[in-house]
Amino acid sequence: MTSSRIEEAPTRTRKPVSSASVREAYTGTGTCNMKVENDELGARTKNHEPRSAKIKFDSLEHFSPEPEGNEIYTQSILSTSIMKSNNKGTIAEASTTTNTSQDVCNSVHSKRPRGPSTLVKMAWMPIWTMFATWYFVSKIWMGIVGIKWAAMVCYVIDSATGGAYERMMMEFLNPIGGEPKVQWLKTLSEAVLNKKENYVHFAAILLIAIGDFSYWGAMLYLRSKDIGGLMLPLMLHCFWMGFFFISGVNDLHYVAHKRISNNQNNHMFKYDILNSFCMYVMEPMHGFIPLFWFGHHVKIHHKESNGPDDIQGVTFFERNFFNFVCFVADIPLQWYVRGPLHHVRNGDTAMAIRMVLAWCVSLSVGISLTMWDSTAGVLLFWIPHLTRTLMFNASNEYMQHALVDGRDGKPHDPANNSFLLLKPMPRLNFARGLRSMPDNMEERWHAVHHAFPHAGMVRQVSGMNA
Amino acid sequence: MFDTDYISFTDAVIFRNTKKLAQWWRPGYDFGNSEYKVSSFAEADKKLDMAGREKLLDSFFHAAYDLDDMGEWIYAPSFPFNMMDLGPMQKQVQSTL
Repeated sequence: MTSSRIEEAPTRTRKPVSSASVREAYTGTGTCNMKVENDELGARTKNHEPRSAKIKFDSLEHFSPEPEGNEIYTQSILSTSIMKSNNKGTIAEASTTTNTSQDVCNSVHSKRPRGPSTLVKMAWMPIWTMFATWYFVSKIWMGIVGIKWAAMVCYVIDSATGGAYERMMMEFLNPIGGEPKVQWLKTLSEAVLNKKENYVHFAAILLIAIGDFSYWGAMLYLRSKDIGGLMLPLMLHCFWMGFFFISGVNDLHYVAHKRISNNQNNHMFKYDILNSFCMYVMEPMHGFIPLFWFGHHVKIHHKESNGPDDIQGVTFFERNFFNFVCFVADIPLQWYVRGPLHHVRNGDTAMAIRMVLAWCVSLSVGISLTMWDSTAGVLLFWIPHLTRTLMFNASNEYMQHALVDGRDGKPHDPANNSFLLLKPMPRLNFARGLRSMPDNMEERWHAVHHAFPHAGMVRQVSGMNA
Repeated sequence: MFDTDYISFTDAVIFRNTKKLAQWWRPGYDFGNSEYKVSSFAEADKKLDMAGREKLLDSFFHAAYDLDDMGEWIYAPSFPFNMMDLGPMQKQVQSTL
């Protein structure tokens, strides 16, 4: 090793280095010279196969006892244990010592900024604060103001009808056996659905279609006739946020999952215009960008499965609240830019163009609406869109894969980076009519969802048991 | 497997509340079926005390990939990821560059 080779390293910081060299740096078995020469890897690989080596953190005596067949992990001076497979396929400790080359490496590069500099971070803080503020404000606006207002209104309606309202809604959204008893609903669902099992999704989408178009129609009417000042549109908006905005999300998501199939019999709706209607019209009316579930969730997140190429992935950075807000700030970039770019990189330019054109049209509608009437624009488009983007979707994307147990070398495996929850979502605070907890409103089996992406929550339970 | 609901779990994960998560965690949960296959890691995790569970769960919040997986992303993550706090592994990787 020569000192000149060491000094070259900082100038090569944008080129990838193999983990083998870093392992050697960790363990002290390699040199800086080797590290530079072992530059052979490309950016963010698609190879999600279990690696022959992995880096594991801990300073944990508590990790013992270890599973049989493995040697005990030991702690290095760097609080990092590195294990690699030996020829027999069992994990053996590589090294826990350091040597001079490691010290030299560290001393040479100790002047490198580790993370953003203080100055950059200070400049970033106002933006960070803005996103954090919006996260909490929208959480309160939707989760407390909206849901409480909707619950009050529905309580009055339910009381006035002697409980008939909630029974009717339960029969509509979540009938026993998953099939409606009312004849017209049965006829309608059979006419448009490919499979009876999708009735609960159909019911929720029908509910939000009625709710969204009524909301837009009523709001446009109120604003065009200047009826009710600001208060009546605001009350309407709060009710919509607390009742319709939280409904049907998973159902639009299942439309996209089923639409990926080449066999039209597997799609949610018999008629493709209805599937497209959900993706291009219902999604933006519900705060998403058009094609979000299909273009981002199905064709990127599930395809890349939380791996390094998953633009929704969270497993490659340290997860804490500060970084969560940084991730929130990334969501608009992810939705508008990274998603289409991902498809371009993968050769699916047509998909990228569809996505960009669709969100251009969606944003144009929002901007035009705001130019016509700012109150209508804010209440119909911007609050739902920003809440969906920076609160609802950001927190779901983040937390659904934030806990990663990569001890078996498969951090990308949903069984290792997602969860199962024993308790159902608390629903007593929801508006009456939504409290029956229809299939679409639960997210407690997220690990199962990745194994059975087409299965609704009821079927996920059976999948889990299997 | 966690013995809690989605909303409570979300808050605990976002605020990295490992104490609550450790209380809810049920490693090796067998759904009441003694024949249910439980991994060797889960068997070991069952024996951890609460402090051990907290530390282990805390380690699950660290970045899970290394240079093999992430390539140049580790060097120069795009905005706003370059504004994030670094975890112990990333600090260590940075120091070796």
